[in-house]
Amino acid sequence: MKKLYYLIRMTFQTKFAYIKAFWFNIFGTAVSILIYYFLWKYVFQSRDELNGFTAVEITTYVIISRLLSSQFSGGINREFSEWVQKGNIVVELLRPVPLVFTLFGKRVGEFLFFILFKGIPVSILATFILGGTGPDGAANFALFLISVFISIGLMFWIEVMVGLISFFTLNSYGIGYTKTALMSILSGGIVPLFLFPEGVEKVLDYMPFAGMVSVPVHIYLGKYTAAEAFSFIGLQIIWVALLGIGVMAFYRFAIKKVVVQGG
Amino acid sequence: MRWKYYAKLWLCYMRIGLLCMTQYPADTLIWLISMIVREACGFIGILAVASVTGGLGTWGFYEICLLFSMCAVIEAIGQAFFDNVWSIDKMIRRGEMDVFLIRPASPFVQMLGQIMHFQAVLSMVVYVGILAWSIHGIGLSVGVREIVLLVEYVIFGTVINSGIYTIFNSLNFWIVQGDDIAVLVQTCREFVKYPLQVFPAAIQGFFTYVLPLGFVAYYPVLGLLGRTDMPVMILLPCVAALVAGIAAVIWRLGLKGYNSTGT
Amino acid sequence: MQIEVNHLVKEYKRKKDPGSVGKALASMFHPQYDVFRAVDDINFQIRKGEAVGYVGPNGSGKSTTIKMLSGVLTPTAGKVLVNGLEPSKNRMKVNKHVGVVFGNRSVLWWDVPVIESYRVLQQLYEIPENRFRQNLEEFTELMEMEELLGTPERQLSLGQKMKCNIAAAFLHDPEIVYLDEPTIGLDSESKYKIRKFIRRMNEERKTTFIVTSHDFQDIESLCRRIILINHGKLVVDDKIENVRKNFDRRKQIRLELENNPWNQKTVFEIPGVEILHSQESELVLEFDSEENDSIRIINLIAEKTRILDVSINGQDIESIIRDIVKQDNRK
Repeated sequence: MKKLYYLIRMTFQTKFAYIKAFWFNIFGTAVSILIYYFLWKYVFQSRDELNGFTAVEITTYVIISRLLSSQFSGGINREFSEWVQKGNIVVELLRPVPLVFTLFGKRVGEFLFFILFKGIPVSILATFILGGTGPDGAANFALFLISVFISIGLMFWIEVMVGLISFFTLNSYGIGYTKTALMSILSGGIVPLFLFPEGVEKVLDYMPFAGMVSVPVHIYLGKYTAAEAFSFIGLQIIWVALLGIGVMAFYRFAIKKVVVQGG
Repeated sequence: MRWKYYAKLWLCYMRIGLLCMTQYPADTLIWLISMIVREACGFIGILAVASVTGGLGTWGFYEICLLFSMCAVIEAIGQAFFDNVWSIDKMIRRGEMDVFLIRPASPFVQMLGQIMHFQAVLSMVVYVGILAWSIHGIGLSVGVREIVLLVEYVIFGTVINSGIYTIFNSLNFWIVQGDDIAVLVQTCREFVKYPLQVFPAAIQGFFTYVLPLGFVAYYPVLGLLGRTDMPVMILLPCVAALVAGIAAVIWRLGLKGYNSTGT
Repeated sequence: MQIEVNHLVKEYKRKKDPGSVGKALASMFHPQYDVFRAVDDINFQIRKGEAVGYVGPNGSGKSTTIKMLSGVLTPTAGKVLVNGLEPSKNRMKVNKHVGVVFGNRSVLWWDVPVIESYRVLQQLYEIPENRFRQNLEEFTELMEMEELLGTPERQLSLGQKMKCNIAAAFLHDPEIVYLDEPTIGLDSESKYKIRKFIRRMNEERKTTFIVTSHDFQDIESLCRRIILINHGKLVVDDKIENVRKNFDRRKQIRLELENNPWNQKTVFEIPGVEILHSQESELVLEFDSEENDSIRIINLIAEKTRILDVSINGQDIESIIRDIVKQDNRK
């Protein structure tokens, strides 16, 4: 636990050192919230309701989904693949802490920083300015928070995997961009999944990506019954476990290869 | 200006750019995929939104595709041939401008030629395909007027787009890290990928009169569709000339300042 | 005269450190500047075919001068003429016949074979095809770089990179070439080849050279004339042999002694003679040849012990220059 605390603290310090990048990030998120806010406003000029969503609920969806999915452009995959390219991986492997644990500590730090300095302030501000709605009751809010916290696990394993894939290419930036874009679309971070064709929507609902944006936002807005909410959260947990097993197997294989090649 | 000389020089630079691309085929492929997926991200979003009502107001499916592809074509041309304006900051700091100044050719042309991303030409081919498909889908009869407008749009849209990036990146001659402003401008550019009429008048006015990015694709599309009274064909070259003029003045002033301080 | 520099001055403005927050705010609207003279009233002339070493400590204004000669910087006052033209006003015209080699910066493309970079230069300087081929052939032979041409720069060693960059600066038959630290960080074999190449260009093509380098072997083997500047002012402008004659006053005596009475001592009996080094059987002394003479010193030593071996050395050009700069700084 103490080690985790230090890793989180270190991540916070790095984030503060690059505080300018953080402002740019907020600006980018604000622009993307505004764009979709206006697009939806335009759509709702000629209707009152869409698939059970009112204009206010859609506004809330836009704010929270854009915020949650703005995490996808960060993550540890880039730093992880840089370690290999610059050869620092050897130093990291020699530490008495497992490499995956170090990475996880960094990821949790990044997530906490996001929640404290971006998630909470921006969502409150945007909700007041653009006219969104609060959570649908305390119980749903609690479930929403649980779901968001579990989504760290999903993001973490996917980022480790992307980082491992980047080992084998020169262009970790390109892979990173692809990851960001794909995750945004598939998680419902850009538009709600119900806008996709029905078959696609069904599949995406049960994929791990939905657990990062679509599931928490639906819970927040009270669109799921208690039973649905619990089963989706259960599914999230199952995905974390499955991804963990798969990615760790890939990890062992890839690290061995990297170490043999000498980084 | 010695047109023939610069045309030949440009061909030499293109040759280098092509060779660089073929050096890393895997990298090129990743680049291509990541760029297209990134564009597709916003594209899928607006198409999904529009599909709810079968279109956004007067904007049908194919019209949105047209706007998006026309926007992406210009961005791809910029990435291919004008991307090095983003290195102005780095070049000033490292004194790399000196190398261009000790040669008997325009430093601006040399700077642009230094780095080309031919990968972007490949992604452009994809966007041009979508563009043609959209025109076909709309059932637009392509006559002389449309061809002239399309040619104008490619030339002047590129000048406006890359000219604006040049202007803001050239601020680095005076202020440290002036390219931050350029990054903000690039973020704002997201707005003009969508039909501007969806946004409030202030945003529309901003992208028409202050930062004329609306002329990159939005107004040419309106012109093609015959939906505006604006004389787009006359306005395009005028706006382009204005932007290019300002860019040239700022670049020259910056270089002159560089000549006197060397920093 | 190919290069004429008359009363050349370059001043830089530096924002003053405001010192307090209030002054800092005020300085946003009314900036205060310190004026710093990087080049201070310099005059010299260089004939066609000369090779000149342009030396001085770091920050003395060497590269500022070179930048003004090549039109990168505009002079604050004074005049530069290169082939009768002012570089700051006719930059491209002047630089068509000028080559520059930066020891710490490459002008080639990282990812493509060297020859492809040369092709761009061919177009940039509009070098006729047969001239380009002739030059390329000659250079590759002189510096033994045939295999390098087909290799991307990223696969070359530092020495190979430098060879390619030097050849690149000569492809367009420049009349004047500025060499900025041309052999920095290279092994002696590469240094030798590069110096040989430059000397050859100077002798056969009458190319004018201005060499700035901290490596005095570069200067000595390439140049016959030396210009020394310090704090932006010209201190010495003379032939290297004259500099040596006029300033080489300090001499060193190295003695091998049977037993050394000055072992571990730091003071020698004769004033003005310094002990540089003293061990059981070895003694190194330094003195000013105008104040003392070596015979007197050796006689004194011979009275006290048996001398096994003696050698007397003058200074090398590097330490002469160091002394001149030291003296100049005292002024």
